[in-house]
This record gives sequence, C-alpha cells and structure tokens, in this order.
Amino acid sequence: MERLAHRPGAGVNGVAIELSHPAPERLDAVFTLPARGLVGLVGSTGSGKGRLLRAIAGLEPASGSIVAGQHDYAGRGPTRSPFSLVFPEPRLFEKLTVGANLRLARPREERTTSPEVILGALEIDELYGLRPAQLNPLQRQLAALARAALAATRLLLVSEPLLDGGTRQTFREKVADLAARLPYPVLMAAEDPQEAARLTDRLVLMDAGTARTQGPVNELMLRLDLPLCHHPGAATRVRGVVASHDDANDRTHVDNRGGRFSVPRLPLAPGKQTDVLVPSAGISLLARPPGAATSAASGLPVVVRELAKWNEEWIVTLTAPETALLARVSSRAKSELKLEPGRQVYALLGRVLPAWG
Amino acid sequence: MIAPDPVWALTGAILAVYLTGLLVARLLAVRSLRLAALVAALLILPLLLPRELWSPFLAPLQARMTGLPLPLADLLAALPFAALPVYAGLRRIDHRQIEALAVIGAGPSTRLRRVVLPAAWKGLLLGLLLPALHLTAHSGQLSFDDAVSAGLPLIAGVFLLWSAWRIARGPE
Repeated sequence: MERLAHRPGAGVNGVAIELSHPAPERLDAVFTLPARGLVGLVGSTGSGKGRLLRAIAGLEPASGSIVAGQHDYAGRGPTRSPFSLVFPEPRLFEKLTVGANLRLARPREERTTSPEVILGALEIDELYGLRPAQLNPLQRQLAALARAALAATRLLLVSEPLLDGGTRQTFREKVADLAARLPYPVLMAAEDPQEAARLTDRLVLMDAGTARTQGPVNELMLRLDLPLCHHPGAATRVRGVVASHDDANDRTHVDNRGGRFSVPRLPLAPGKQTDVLVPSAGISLLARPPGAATSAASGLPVVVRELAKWNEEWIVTLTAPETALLARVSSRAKSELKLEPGRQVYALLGRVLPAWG
Repeated sequence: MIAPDPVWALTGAILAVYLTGLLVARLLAVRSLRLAALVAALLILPLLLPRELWSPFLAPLQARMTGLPLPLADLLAALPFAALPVYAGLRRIDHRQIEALAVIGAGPSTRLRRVVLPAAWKGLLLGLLLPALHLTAHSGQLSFDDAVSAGLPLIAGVFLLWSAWRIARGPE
C-alpha cells in the first residue's frame, strides 16, 4: 500500500476525493468528506452523481486519488477498495434469504463498526429468514443498504434509490440514522436538494459532471450563480430553539432572533436547539406585516439581499437575524413589491419542515 | 471392452475442443454482439459446407500437428458445439450482480458460485456434452457400441451429479 505523506490531502481526517475522466463522459470531482456523518451529493438528473459514486467505488474508469487516513485507495478496483456502494436497485440475490445476502458482505479491512450497530440502526432483524421476493421495495433497499454498510470500512456510497417519493424519504431517513452511528462518512446522492438538506447540513454539488463545490446547505442554496437555487426543491436551514408546543394543533414553535417557525410537533423539550428547513416554494412576500387573520403561521420581517432572474421568475435571497431564506416570486410581484437589495419585506412561510436528527 | 488408447485419445480431443470452445466463448462474451454473430457464423460454416471443400486448407497445419488424436477437421467441426452453448451460457450472466458482489468485497470464488455458475451452468454443461457426443459418434475411430459405452456413462454420471446437486440445494 502506498504511503502518502507527501501527497496533498494525506493524513486528512476524512476522505479526500480527487477524480477526473476526460470527455465525453467527463468527470471532475474535487472535494473532501468529513471523518463521519452524512453528506448529500445533490445535482439534477444526468449531472453525473451516479457515475461519480460508481467511480469512487471503482466501477467506472477515473484517474486521481481517494485518500482516507494514510492511504490512497484510487485504482484499487471495487473488490479491494474499502468503500461500498448501494445501487439504485437493491441487487439482492433472490434465491438467498436476507440473512444469507448480508453474509455475502466481506469487509476489506478490519471492521470499524460492529454489525449489531448497523443492523440495529436499520431494524431489519425480523427480515433475516425471508427471501427478497417476500419483502416490500423499502425493505429490499434497506437490506441492500445493510449489506453495503457491513462491507464498508472507510466510506459508504448511497445511490438515488428507485423508490417512490414517500418510500424514498423513509429510506433516506434510515440512511441518516445509520450515518449518525457509523465511524466513517456516508455520501448520498439526491436529485431533490430538499430531501438532502432536510437530513444533513453538508452538501456537495454536482453539475454537468463536475463536483467541486461543497459546503453547508445555506452557503450553496443562497448562491445565485449555482443551479441549486433554481430547483423547485430549494430550501434553507434555520437554527433555532424549541420555544413551546402547540398541543391543540400538534405543532412545535421554534424561535430564533429572526422570528418564530412553526413545524409539525417535535419530540424535543423546550430549550433544545434544533434546525428547521424552509422550502423556497412555500414562501410568499408581502410589503406590510400580515394581519391577524392570515392563516400562514409566521410573518417574518426580512431584508432582500440579492435577486436573480430565472426563466419568468425571480429568485430572491432574504435575511433576518440568524435566518437566511430563499424565495421565488413572479416578475409582477417583484415590481409590485419594489424588490431590490436592502428593501425590507415580510415573508409568509407556508411550509416549514423539521430537519432530521 | 474398449481399448484404452482410442478412449484416451477421444477424451483428450473432447477436452481440447471444450477448452478451445471456452476460450472462444469467453472472448466473444466480452466483445460486441455483431462480432459474436459473425464469429458464430464462421464457426458453423464448416458444418454446412462439404468437408472436401475446406479440409484441404487445413492440410499444412495438420502436417505440423502430428500429435493430434483426431484429424484437425474433426476438431474444428466439433468446436461450435462447444463454443456456442458456452457463449449462450456466458451471455446469461448478470453483470449487475457481479458488480453488486464486487462492491461488497466478495471475491472471484463467490462470484463464480453465486452468479456465474447459476447463470451459465447449462451452457457450460451442454458445451461439454455436445462435442463429446459429436466427436464420439463421428470420429470414426470408435464403433457405435464403443461410442455408446463411452457416452452413456458420461451422460449418466453428469445426470446423477446434477440430481444430487438439485436435492442438496433443496426446494426453490
């Protein structure tokens, strides 16, 4: 195994990825994953997320380096590299039981986590004796996730699963649960940035085969030169403290210095810090504070920072103390509200989601 | 009672044809379908044309390969019976399953046992049986009785092994 003391990224506490492949299947990825935790790989369909994951796993040709700890694992081939990939489809062996499928996993280095941790996080014990045909699609994908996690020792790669929206969300929550317990990072591809941003604050942006931009959710979402802000699923994260529970409506109020955010009830005691996710699609802007009759939960005083035209709409970034928001408005609303940088308006937050974990 | 010489010669010829067939099939399986169709057609051509038409072309090669148990033309005519079933078997291998095993660290033996053999065993077996029967029946070095006495135990043995394996594996 090659020693890498002289290489850039050597000894990083995490996984430093530098991979490239020339056109036409262009791939250009330079980013560093943290030592542990979930990272979302976001980008539109065809941006190359799947191919990047396959290249990291060693299934696609790419040159460069993948440094984890003291070693460069690039070019080792899929069998010998300590990264495992969960494919979009489960790829379980139909004739084997779930248990036998899981036993196919062979960690390539000494295990860094016990199997009980992985299986406990995914809660699939009762499926052991069953065959894949007896499982529902979510259970099959979870079994595939468990199998991959049992074999990984440095990095787990999770493709966008071929599941419908609700099931996909449940699967991703399980991925987030698992990632929180693993001693190595998990890189999860997601086409809808909201699905990734709800589960993790760390994103890598993939666009036309290039993945060189990474950072916290808000840093990437609020950059109007990046494609993320245009996506219907664009959203920002806001940190606050649980203020009170509204038992009548089964909701929880999360406050910060910017204002109050109402989310579906959280199992958290007042005073606990938590993040909420504010989708750009649910925000409407008003010139004056909303009256008491307004059904929307919050009317937040915000200041316009930047505007950018996108097709027939305008993307607007807004700030309030401890708060950054992204909104889409029509050209007509933009002129009626006289939106320009520095102008104060009121944001009605139609929908606020609790962030995971 | 079969004399040992022709039986060993025949066995050697069958194995030589089978191994060549495996090699051809393996090469075809990684190349394009169009090339595979062309090579398959070329392999079958000697069977369709009268032997007098093409066997003279083999004479110089035959002269050099003196150790062959059977005429080169016989071996060439038997080759498609080995190569094509094996190729068909190899085409049935699901490479997505190979990938699935690779990314969880499962090595070549697991891949052979879990993916390659379950998909390709019929082709691999047929590719051995067909040239064996073909060469046995058409070599001319053995009488029909000899062919039957060489071929039947082979078939019976393979069938027994297969049945034992099916029973050992249990119900689907």
